[in-house]
Amino acid sequence: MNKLVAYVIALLASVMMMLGSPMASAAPDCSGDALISETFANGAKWEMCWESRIRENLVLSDVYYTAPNATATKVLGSARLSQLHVAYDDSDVTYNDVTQYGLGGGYLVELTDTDCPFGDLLIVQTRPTICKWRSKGNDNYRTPTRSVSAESLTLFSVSQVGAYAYIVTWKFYSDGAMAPEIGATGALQRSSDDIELPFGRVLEGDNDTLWLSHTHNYYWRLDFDLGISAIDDVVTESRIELAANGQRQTRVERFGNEQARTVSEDHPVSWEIWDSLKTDTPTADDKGYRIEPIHFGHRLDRREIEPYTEYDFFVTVANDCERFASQNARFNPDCLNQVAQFVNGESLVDADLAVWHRVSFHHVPRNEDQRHMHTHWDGFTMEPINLQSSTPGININDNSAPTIAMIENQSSSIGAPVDLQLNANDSDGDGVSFSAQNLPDGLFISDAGLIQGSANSAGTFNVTITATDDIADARREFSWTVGNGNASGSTKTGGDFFGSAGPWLIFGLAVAFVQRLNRRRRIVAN
Amino acid sequence: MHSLKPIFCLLCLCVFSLIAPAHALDCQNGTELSHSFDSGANWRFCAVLDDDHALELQELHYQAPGDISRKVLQHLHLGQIMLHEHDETSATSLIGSNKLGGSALKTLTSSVCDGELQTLGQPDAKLCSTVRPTGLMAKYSMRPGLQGEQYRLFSVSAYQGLTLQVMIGLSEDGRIAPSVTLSGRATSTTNNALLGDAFTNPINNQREYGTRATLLYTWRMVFAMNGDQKDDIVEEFNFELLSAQNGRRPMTVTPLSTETFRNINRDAFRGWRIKDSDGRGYYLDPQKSGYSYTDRQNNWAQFDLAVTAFNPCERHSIGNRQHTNVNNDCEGSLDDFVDGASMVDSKPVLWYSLSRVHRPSSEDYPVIASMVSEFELIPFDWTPTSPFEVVR
Repeated sequence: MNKLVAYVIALLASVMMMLGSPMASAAPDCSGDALISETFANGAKWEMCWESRIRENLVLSDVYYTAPNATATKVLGSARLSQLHVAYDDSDVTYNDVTQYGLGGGYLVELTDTDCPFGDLLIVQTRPTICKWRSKGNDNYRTPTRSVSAESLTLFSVSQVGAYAYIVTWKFYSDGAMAPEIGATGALQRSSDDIELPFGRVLEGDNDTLWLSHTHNYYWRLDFDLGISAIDDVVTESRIELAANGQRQTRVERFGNEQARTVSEDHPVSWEIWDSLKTDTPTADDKGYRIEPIHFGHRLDRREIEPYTEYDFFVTVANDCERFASQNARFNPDCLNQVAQFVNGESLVDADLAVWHRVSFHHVPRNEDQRHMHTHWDGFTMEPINLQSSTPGININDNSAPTIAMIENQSSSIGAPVDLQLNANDSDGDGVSFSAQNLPDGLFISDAGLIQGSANSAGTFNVTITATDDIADARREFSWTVGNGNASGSTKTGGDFFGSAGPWLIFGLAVAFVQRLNRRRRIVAN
Repeated sequence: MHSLKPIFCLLCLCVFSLIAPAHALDCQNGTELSHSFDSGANWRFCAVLDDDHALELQELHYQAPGDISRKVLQHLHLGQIMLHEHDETSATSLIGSNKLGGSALKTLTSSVCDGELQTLGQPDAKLCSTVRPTGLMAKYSMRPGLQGEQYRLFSVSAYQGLTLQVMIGLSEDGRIAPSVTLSGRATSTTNNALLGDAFTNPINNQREYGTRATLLYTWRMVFAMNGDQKDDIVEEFNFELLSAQNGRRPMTVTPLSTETFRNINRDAFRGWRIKDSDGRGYYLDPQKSGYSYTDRQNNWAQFDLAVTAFNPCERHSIGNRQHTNVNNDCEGSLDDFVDGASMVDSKPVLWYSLSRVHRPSSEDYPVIASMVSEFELIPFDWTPTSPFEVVR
């Protein structure tokens, strides 16, 4: 999408907003079989258009995410695998599978219910070749008493290119995360009769064949269009360094021009794509996605032969004819040939942006690869930043904090056994666990609120008790005096729930109950 | 005749496995558990919930379909977790002092275990086992795809509101995937943008900077491939680029014959294999590593891998507590364990470390959105061919 078109779209969107008309762009620009829409149990929704192309196969466009209880937000203008580069260790052959062969058309494998047992098959032309599967992902979050699994919309197809079968996969999670992945399976492709070569391995059962090691380099192209406007996205790089004082400090760099970047050996790096950024340092109002390169045990760098392999992450101005990370000019003769050339100093300000990311996997043949390989998965995740107002899966308005019963000030003597049970109540019925700060040395508190042990040093301790339902906390403070005198312990229950304020609290609760009853009656009467 | 040899061996193994009853494992302080997949693949092991490091698997045996059950690991557990909140000047070690095991281990219920609660002979269940589909395990052209499964075991520990889910995934095809998932309550905030990320706290609607944190997870793996013969060898694979030879990458395989520290070399695709005297083994694939941890106070923490000879009382990379030894000669850290001793006639111990940074956002409040740190051990010539095509 060029600048002018992007400007016009943004302008139209703004005008429509001002007119108060429903936002036509708040939904994908497609319908019928071309539209994928999936609503999860938590109310979150993903919507997108899809098509299968001869070269890239699955191209997703107009990708929208709707968080629970929120309106739809555009995330991506388009997303696709932009090259599948395979470099053999003997350097005799290099493949660019997307542009040399293609992942779509005749290379797409027809799928059956056996391949897609948990989902639905989508038809490309007349053949079922894409599996749409709603699956359970990893945990959204986990505490000792609660956990919620993320759900995901998974789309995958299988492309048979030579002996390899590539499972091209996209996952869209209910928490807003997105994860493109490739599974490499099928069979080993290249071998040599010269078993003395140091570029591969001889596998059991065939002493006359050397199977060659090789690297798969997957390049994805992601045209982010976060929010209403496609031309206000901003990309930053965050780099964490160990400071002289031992703290770890993060430097944020806002990209003004097209960039090509690498991961760092020992400085954690991440790249963020923001829906606009008013200042150079992101604030709590800024929303976006983060790409954290955590899948980088291997990276192919042979810049002398293929300059673009020096880099892992690129930001360019989105240009429709810059489609492939390498061999681009084969199909776009008026454009440059590879992604490092696309990075030529253009300003990213007021421009539609495309992000390119690559992940490498070096494959050393093993016996288990005969005859058909077990799938090796590679990919990355784009995690949402401030896209939701709180932890996905938790509605904090539905949760009440626990209440700790009154705790009287305590006293005991050194060496005397202590056995003090604290109590708490949670109106939601959630499990409650206790912790304590500044208990006298020798005393311990259990999750259930039982303080036991015997103090071993004298003094007055200001103790803070925390009770939590794993989402919200309650605190109470009291003092604990440990004397040197005759051993006398503290063995009791930490008060009835209402303690000395009991009668007043009971009276107050009774009043509140009657008022609530009256209010309900009024609602019924109306 | 060469090509028939593996088939013959496999047939022998099949017959043997049918005849020989599976002997009970020597679970000295654990409980024997096992899981069989529909394909016939099977995992057997002793499960332990350790007072220091929570979940541990001992005597881990894998049986590929049509194969016999063979031992892979004698011990697999966390060797340490270093937690460095970025506004602090040093990291805290979480193993020891009941920060991960002991009272930090939480009782699980069916609401947080979507599988089977495992009591391990105790009144409360603190271990959960589940089975998850992993998608297409193998696919070739028009042949029907094979669907894979993973058997997972996990414990849950709490440390100052943080939740640490220690998990070991055992896949049908022999892969072993240890992981730690960080979640729970993040309470630390800062007013320095260099040390935290901006978000709006949903509890009080205040704008705050949540403090970033770096976690270093170190796993201890004691290998005993195919039994306790002490004949396992650790090898390092490198594939250095030779620019002068038109970008060729010759493979070099170097035995690690003495205790040593190693780092990942991303550009050389470095990896490590552990194999027995017959060449059956596993590969430590460092693929899911983003960067190498840096640390000025702990030399060992700067390395991605350490290899040591097995010593039962060297269990934790720092704060290693006195366990069974009466001579008090096991105190110290991984820096003390790696002293150049020979690896010959000993079980190799691999200490593998991987690190991740938690960068807070609104999605982390009130509870941190789960952050998984995982790596894989992959069977490498464990069977002569893919065992699944024999069965299916």
